[in-house]
Amino acid sequence: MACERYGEALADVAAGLPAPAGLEAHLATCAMCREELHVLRQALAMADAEMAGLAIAEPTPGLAARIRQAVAAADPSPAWRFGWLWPATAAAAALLVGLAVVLGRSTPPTDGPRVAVDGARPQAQPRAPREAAERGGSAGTADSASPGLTAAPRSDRVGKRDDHAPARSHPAGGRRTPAEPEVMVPPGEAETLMRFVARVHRDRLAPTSFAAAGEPSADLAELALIDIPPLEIVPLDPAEVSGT
Amino acid sequence: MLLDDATAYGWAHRGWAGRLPGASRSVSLDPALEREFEERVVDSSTLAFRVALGVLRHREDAEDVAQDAFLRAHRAFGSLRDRDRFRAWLVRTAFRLALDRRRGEMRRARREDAAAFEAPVLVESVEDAAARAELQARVGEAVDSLPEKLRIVTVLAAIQEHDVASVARLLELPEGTVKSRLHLARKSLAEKLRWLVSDTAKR
Repeated sequence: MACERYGEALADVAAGLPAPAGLEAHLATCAMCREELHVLRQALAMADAEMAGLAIAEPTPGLAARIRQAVAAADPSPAWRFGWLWPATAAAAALLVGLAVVLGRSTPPTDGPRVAVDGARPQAQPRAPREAAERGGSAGTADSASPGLTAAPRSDRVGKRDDHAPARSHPAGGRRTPAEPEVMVPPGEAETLMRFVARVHRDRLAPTSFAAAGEPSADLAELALIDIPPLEIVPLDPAEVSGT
Repeated sequence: MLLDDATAYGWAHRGWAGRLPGASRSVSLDPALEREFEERVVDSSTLAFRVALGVLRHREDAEDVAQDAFLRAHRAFGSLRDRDRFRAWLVRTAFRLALDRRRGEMRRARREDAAAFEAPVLVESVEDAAARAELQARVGEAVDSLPEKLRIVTVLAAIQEHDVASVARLLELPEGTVKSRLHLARKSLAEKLRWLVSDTAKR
């Protein structure tokens, strides 16, 4: 009964804790517990002897030099490993700044459709670089086909590229109209449409007055106001939604 | 001893850059930082080696792990300039790397054992050597079976010759916590190894 009571305490004492009250007296009378404590202490002494070598273990003399060599060869320091990021970041930043400058200069200084006609709209000239960039390799043919126009959009677009871009100040003092539409036209019809828009803009003709002013053409459709009915929102029937 | 070794190599107080092929890339570390790192290698490479050896019980593997730990330390050295902090970080890293390697080895050994033929019976004349190896292996297994928190305390206590304050500094733990863990570890080891004493007595 007493041996069971001290069973756990024997391991504690073997591991270095002081003996609890009563254990010393028990050990004096119990040979089995004395033997158990002796065995546990011997087991720990064996473990300590085996592990004592760690305190005096020395690496081969070349270890420090080997570490030095490995560090120099791998050179895994972040400054070197990610060093290429700095020039790359600088180049990207410079590119972005350059792009912003080019785009800023090419912003139209006045409201109205993005169509420019030589002589008629001299203020539209700064757009040329952007449109030249848009045209790419086909710039020469577009210019030769329409000598009166400063540019013909490559994809036969007229207007801004981004309808949702917020209005922003132009470096020259003008202001872009956020609602300026981008018009898609069939291939080959861009020049016709641009001439039409330029004419409307130059003569300040409203579509209706333009239609009234004549210049009938078989190619022009008759303009008419579109009657858009107010949108009606009808709540769903819960019975339909649940499928019952 | 270690400082003498380092001085013998002639680089204890010199920069590394320019002394080795391809070393110019090392200039990326600030020269002052580089010098501090050299000092850490001088005074802590043995510690890293011993920690790894305590887990792996294999000298070459332990040196590989120490080298790997320093490679990682070099990357993070900007935030590890404080000596105590550096040593604590190094101990943890070396221990972790050694554990990973040990686990990989054990997996590999199990596969090899499964494929191997039955080992030949040792002849009588080498019985003592075999018993010694057996004892080492059993103690190693008992240490390996400890939970990691107790295991690292046991290894460091052996390295620091049971100086609890040193172990506490290396682990950045309160001394009371280290004492408690060390006691639990030793109690567990005593219970795990008691059968070895009985076997030895029978022989």
